[in-house]
Amino acid sequence: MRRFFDEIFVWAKFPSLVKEGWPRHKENGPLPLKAWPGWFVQQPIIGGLNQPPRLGPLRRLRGIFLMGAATPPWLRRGVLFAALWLSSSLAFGQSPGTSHPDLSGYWELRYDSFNVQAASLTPQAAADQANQRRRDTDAVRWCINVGVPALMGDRSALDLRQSPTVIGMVAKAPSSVRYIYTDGRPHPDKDDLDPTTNGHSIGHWEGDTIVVDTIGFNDRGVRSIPGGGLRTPNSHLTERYRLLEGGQRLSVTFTWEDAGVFQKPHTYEFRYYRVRQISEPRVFTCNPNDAERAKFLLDER
Amino acid sequence: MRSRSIELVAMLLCWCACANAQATPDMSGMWLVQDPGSGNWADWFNNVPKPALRPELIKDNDAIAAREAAGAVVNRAERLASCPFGNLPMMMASSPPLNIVQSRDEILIGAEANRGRFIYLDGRGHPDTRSPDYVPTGFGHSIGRWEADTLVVDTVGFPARVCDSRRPVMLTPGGGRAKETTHLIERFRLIEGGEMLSVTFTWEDPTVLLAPHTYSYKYKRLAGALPIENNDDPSDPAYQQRQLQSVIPPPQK
Repeated sequence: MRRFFDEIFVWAKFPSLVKEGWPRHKENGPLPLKAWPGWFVQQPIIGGLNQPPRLGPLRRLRGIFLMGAATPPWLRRGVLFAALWLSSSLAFGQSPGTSHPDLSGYWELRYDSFNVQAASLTPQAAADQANQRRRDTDAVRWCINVGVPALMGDRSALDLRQSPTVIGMVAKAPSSVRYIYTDGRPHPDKDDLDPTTNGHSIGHWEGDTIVVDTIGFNDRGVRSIPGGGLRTPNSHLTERYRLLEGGQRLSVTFTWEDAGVFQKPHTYEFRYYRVRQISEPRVFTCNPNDAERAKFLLDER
Repeated sequence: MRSRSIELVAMLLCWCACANAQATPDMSGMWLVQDPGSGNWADWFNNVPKPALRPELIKDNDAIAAREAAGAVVNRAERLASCPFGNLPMMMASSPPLNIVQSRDEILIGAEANRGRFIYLDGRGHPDTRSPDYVPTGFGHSIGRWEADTLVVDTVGFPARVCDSRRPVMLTPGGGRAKETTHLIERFRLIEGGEMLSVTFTWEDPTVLLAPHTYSYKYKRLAGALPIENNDDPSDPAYQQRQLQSVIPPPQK
């Protein structure tokens, strides 16, 4: 530990080394080295005249910060303060209060996510597909909160906001805000859990991926699952969120498990595109008493 | 030697200042407004320092009170798709807890699981709220900035009218109005070790108030709480009937 501090404070102990370095170097002619710029300080002092500098990592760092004696003090201090500002900005510029990637932003689905592989359905679920489409249309017609998975497939951009303890998601379609708790809490006991269209979601980080576990769905809203099947109170959804392409894409892999609906877990991926800021209200004002809209929707089915 | 030491100390202070400047308090969580026991909604909503209202507003409030006393207590306005969504003064005063998610560039405030306000911290300004492209909501357009540990939120762009047959404009506590000419400044600050959230509201509108109207609410943190989802079903005839039913029971005979 003492050696560490000696290394750091050596310039304070022997400031004359720094002061004398550059003039002595000039007296002995130019350096034959191309690799080390002139401002890389103490080469004549530490390495010997016209010798390649043999500096430890800390001394190199110190050398960069302090520069040569010929460097004006205001420039030395300016570089130092800029480096400190940058280091603190980087240290605190992650997701607020954490070192995890920040998924916050506006995320839009495009056509490349809509060709989902068909799910392997139980015979009962396969037979119920047409009925489910009718129930979904009714939910849309009456402006019921669509819930998951329809919320995640909204054609308008999702607004995703990440804090150290919770992630919030808002879709434009009629829906509740979806909350994913990342504060380490478990799912509530079954008796305490009030089923909702979005279910109860908890997440944990595995490297740069957040793994989200959701249970506690109800039987309201738009329940069809991309690729086939439907969300039920027994559904269990696992999602894996990961930023790609320098943060310009968000990959979300969905895996649905429900023994009454799927013969094996049903997995598909959505890739969201980051879009620029949105100022318009992310709300579709839905009027269940709009007869014309109702007729249009019911005729469609 | 001495100057080097001073330089080192200055650098460390700079680093700490940078770190502190960026580590803003995290207000994420569920927050329940603290009503001191007003007894009913109207008394609670108006339990604020009295605003200096313009005389015409006082007359308008008297007319609304007279209509309500005569039985106009049910909103019979048609719910059109063009009706502005949301009501900021009511949401901030209501019993469904505020559900705050604070990210670096934007803060989302929902009421329980219901969608709510967006406060932009990404440096954008307000849009031109007089432009035909601007779609007003009852939450207005909010931008925020940090002043030390306090979040200062500036809101404009409320709708001129709302779909309510009883009072077609949005009321603010104490009998004021939030409309297209209104400007709201809120100051959010965590207090009592982060267990309480203080919000100070200052309403400004020369067409409504003779002087800015300021009051504060306190919200208590609800640790580990679960938001309740709105399960209204407009296809249910009982729900439709409830929409036409007064919350004030009829007098007993």
